[in-house]
Amino acid sequence: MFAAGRNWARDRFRRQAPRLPAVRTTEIPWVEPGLAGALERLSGRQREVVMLVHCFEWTLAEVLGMSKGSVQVHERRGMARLRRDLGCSDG
Amino acid sequence: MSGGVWPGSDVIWGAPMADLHDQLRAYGRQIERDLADRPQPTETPTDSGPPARPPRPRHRTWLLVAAVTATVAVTAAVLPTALRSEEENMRKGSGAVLGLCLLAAACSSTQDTASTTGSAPPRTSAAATPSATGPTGSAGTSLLDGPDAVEPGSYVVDKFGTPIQVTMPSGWHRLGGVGVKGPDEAVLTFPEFGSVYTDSCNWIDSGAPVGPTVDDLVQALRAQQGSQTTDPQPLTVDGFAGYELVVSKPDGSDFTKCYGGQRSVWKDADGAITDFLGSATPLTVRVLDLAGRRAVIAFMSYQPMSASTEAELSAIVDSIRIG
Repeated sequence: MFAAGRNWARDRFRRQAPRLPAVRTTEIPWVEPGLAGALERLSGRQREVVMLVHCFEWTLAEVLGMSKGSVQVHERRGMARLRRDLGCSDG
Repeated sequence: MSGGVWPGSDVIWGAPMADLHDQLRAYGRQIERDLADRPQPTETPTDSGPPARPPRPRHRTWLLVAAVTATVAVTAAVLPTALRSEEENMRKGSGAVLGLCLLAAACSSTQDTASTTGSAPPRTSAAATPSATGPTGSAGTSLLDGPDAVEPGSYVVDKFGTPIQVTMPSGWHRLGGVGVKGPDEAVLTFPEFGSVYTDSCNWIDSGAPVGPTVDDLVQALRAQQGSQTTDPQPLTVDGFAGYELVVSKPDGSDFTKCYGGQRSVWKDADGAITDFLGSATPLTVRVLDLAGRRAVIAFMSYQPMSASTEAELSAIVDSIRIG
């Protein structure tokens, strides 16, 4: 029952995610305009974790339904893909 | 540090990866503001609009379900030790789990419905409920925090210890908690400086922390490369002394070749707000010493200002009273 409820809610979260608002460069000019598109291209779990942790400042522990290690993996892979999409290489 | 090339640009930046975190945080705040300001969630979505269902409320719905069911699961596991028989324990435990999960789902649906009918994220709930801040436009109402639209009237900026009173006309809107924006993209801001870029063109890696005094900021602005800054003119507002400087782009310079296509002057103390030099008007910066604490009033326009807008902005600035 717990898993069913969790998966139901998570699926709803993911299904709705791919449409994100455009970056308003007049208000936040230092943000790459392609950021929204790059986020949309992430997998559901990667987008879920990256947006909760980095856009909305949740801690890794607050991202429930996955182990902390799993959250970290999705966060790392999501951020790596964002960097790749936005043309920034790791140093 | 690492470098990269932004898509669609022929300019190579030194782009630190830490900057991506700042960008994501700023983008999240934009989404939160959109959600707080959205008047009609049922309107036809556009490409630039917010998502049909905001990430945070959706996740909070899921979080509610998960938290309640997790609590129930733990409770059901503990309860049997206090009950009489294993079979009875299993029946009661399973029944409790099922019942409370249904209750959680019902609560979740209610909350989700509320979120789709205009509820705001918690950090911006005040902005989503105009009546929550009391009558707008009355003396004592915060200019920086509140609904998107600024009603005509008197407002206060109280972030610098000493209150700053401002009289606003109609047609202006709040700008990300740091100022207001009006016609022709004229802006009036009250920033708290975190750092000043030593180079306003190749600014991304050049942020340098600025000291707390009026002189610290004046010197940092005057030393900034890639922009022209006038000599500081002494200024006194209601007995509080300071300086006024005008920062502009060098004649003939092409700011489209700068990082991100614009010149940036400073970074706000929270790391999320960067002001920049638009192509329309110079940036006027008033730096005042309010009983030992530095206050900054900055104004400019991103679009060429009409005469009426110029007069309006001037009237707003002239209306400022301190103390």
